[in-house]
Amino acid sequence: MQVRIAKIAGAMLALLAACLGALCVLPVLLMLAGTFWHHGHPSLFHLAAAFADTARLQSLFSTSAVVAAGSVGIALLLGVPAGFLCFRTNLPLRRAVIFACLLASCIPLYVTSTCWMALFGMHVWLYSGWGAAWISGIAYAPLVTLITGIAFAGSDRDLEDMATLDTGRRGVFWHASLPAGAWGIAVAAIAVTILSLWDITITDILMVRTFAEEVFTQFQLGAGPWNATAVSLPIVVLLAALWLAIIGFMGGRGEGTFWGRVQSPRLVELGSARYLLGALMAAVVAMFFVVPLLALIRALGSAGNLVTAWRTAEDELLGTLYITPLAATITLFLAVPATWALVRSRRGRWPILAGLIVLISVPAPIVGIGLIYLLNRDGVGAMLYDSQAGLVMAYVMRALPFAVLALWPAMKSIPREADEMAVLDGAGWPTRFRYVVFPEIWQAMIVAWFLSFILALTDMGASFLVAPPGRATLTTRFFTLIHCGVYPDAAGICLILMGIIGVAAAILAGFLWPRLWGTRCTS
Amino acid sequence: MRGAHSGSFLLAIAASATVLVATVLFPGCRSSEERVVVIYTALDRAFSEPILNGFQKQTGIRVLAKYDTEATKTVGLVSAIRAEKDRPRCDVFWNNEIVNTVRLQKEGLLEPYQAIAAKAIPPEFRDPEGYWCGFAARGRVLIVNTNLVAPAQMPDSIYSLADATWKGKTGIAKPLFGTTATHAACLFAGLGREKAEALLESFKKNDVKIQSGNKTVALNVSAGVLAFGLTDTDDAIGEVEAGKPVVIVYPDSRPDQMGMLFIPNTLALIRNAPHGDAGRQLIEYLLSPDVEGALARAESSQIPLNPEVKVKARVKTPSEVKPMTVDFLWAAEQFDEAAAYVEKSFLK
Repeated sequence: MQVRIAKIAGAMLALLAACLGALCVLPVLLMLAGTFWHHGHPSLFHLAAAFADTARLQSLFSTSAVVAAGSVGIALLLGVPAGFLCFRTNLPLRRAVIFACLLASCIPLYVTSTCWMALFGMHVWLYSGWGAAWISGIAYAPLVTLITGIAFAGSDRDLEDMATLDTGRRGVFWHASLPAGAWGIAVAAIAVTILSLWDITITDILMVRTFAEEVFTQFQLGAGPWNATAVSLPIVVLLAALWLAIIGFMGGRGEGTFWGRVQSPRLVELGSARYLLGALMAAVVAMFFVVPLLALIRALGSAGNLVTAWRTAEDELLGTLYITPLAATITLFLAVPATWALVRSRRGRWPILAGLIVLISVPAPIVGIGLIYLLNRDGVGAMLYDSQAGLVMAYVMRALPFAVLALWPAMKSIPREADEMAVLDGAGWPTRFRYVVFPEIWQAMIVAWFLSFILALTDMGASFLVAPPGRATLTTRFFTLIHCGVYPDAAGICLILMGIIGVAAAILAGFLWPRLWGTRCTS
Repeated sequence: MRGAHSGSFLLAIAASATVLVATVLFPGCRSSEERVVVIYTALDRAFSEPILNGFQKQTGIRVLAKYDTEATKTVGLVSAIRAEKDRPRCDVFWNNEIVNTVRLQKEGLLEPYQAIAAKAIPPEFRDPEGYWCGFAARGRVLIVNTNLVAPAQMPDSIYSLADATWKGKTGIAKPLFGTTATHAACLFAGLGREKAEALLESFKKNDVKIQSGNKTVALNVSAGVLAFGLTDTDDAIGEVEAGKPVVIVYPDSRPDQMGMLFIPNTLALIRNAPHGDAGRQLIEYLLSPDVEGALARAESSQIPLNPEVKVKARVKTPSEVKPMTVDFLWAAEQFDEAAAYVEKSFLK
């Protein structure tokens, strides 16, 4: 009887997850389908209208490419070595650097750009694609540090020990450590590409024209969302191809090399280079954390303004601190079975992959409009739309693909034999999850949750459209306080948020402490 | 035994999920007794929220407001109103300019309402059929840095932006969004397409610096990065009252010039609004002289259009400066053409 209840409950949960997953993808599919529909019949009208001026679009494409490629290059150049140094070496104050990265991930992109503009003024180089790439790259470097660092921390100690016997330190890095971190580097690269491509806050301030701005321009021209969706298609196709290429390249790799069942990773002893590298790391941290933090503190003015900021945005702060963790949790609830299906199921793999690619590639305003079209109907849809459920859905839609990417290697590292033995023992899927899957992926789940939380926290393009009246999100509130510049209330909100997240992150870090920081050093 | 543990585990998850989901959905369920009105407002929250709180306090009708942000440009409230047209959520649209309101009118998304309080507003600032009504305007002015521009060189027209003396030293906001886009549409409507394009082309040839917004123009002029620029009165007055070395010039106000553009805030009732009665009540309140007076006294110094308002505006009004004669309905028709030109030729 108990087993039957467990099976029924399990089936219901699976059905719920499938329905929620489908709901997440439907709005975007609606928008994409509408792009090929005009006056009641299939048509390429919107595509023709959006791509009428090919010369301008080529210019937008090349600028977008500069911004994206530059952002990824700078973020990886800073973040990957930083990730390795912080998570795999005896770098001085590495835990403080990791903590700084956690907090820096919560600093809005707008604040980072304001700091650099304050430093360089209207210098020509800043107001260009390369300037936008520099600011984006700096701003996303902390996120890259965390993702790649945790990936490096999952390196197979046995493999590294064997490599040590055959090669030197460099060989260990190239043949054991770097392959372990490769998946994290790929996830970070995709994340930065997408975030920088579709961001408009920096490119708008720096007057850099990209495809992201073109999407907003199409809305402004009154062409409706269909032309806006049409104009985003080249980027959607490009991102989809990039994602498929990386998944295809990494598909046969990563088994047992990312999270795996490894022991605590060994720390690499830096020797005499320790303090020089520490100084370099301090300079990097100054760029992406200390400078924006000082700018925020300066804009805050006095500690009393923190209280004012809290009173100004108390509803939004509390609401956001409730909704975004909830959205991150729901994202995880969907991401785990989706990732399992991607890794293990042949039939379920391609529809789920297609849905995730669509979600990850489409710009935020399109997602928001799609949600309105789907939910703003009498009945259940209206109940969802008039509540914060629409907002939660928007967050989940934005974060789900990234959460799946973060879980993928950990899920892949679970040996099939362990799962098959559990099945032979008569274990149902809840038991298999609890005793076979969960012990292998719990750290990846924490990373996926944190990534989803940050993405939900910083989203505005989609959430602004679906947030019910009377309930602004914190990001929207932040931007309404900024007309141009970081004012005391806005700075206070940012600092309060960083404080709350910092405390929560410090508590969470306790769970990862023994796993991520090795207790022995290699020579 | 394991099945029992799994069942309990799943039941615990299901119960937690139900509680969490209910707390998200519950706020969407309101008592049918409670009177509410939903307003989408493009005017900065800092200025509109106190006004809306006053209405709530006075009438007991709960105001649910959705505010705009500059970061989302127009892909915010106007797009939401369009997307929600089959089941509107908004009752009243408070726009901080006029052209997008007129465009919504042309799309059949507004409902006419001849507000009693609107009768005092000059006819050029309200729709004759009552689809929208203007109030609390802003002027399109030049903000000039007095350290960089001598009194004898003071610009007096928007054409001064094309003066070769100031090549590369003047600025305007991107004319695709906000009041600058409205201004471009009004130029297309008032001057005609050829002259308007020629004017914008002359700006481009004179290397007029495109800024991300009107506030940025004002800040860069007061910082001395630009000599002067085209902006709104609320952004310019902020710099003047902050003691920066700038003055406001009201352009094109001589009898032989085209006049200065005043752009009103506009109020409109949404078609099939769910709380139409409360929406009409809110419109009457917002069009009252007290509200215009409050907006004039506020930091943004909006310009009262209702002659019954006794508060003196801190910037010049249409009765003190020659206003530009604009057919806003025609300007709305020209908007797409102006935006297309700006996008293709001006912003390259």
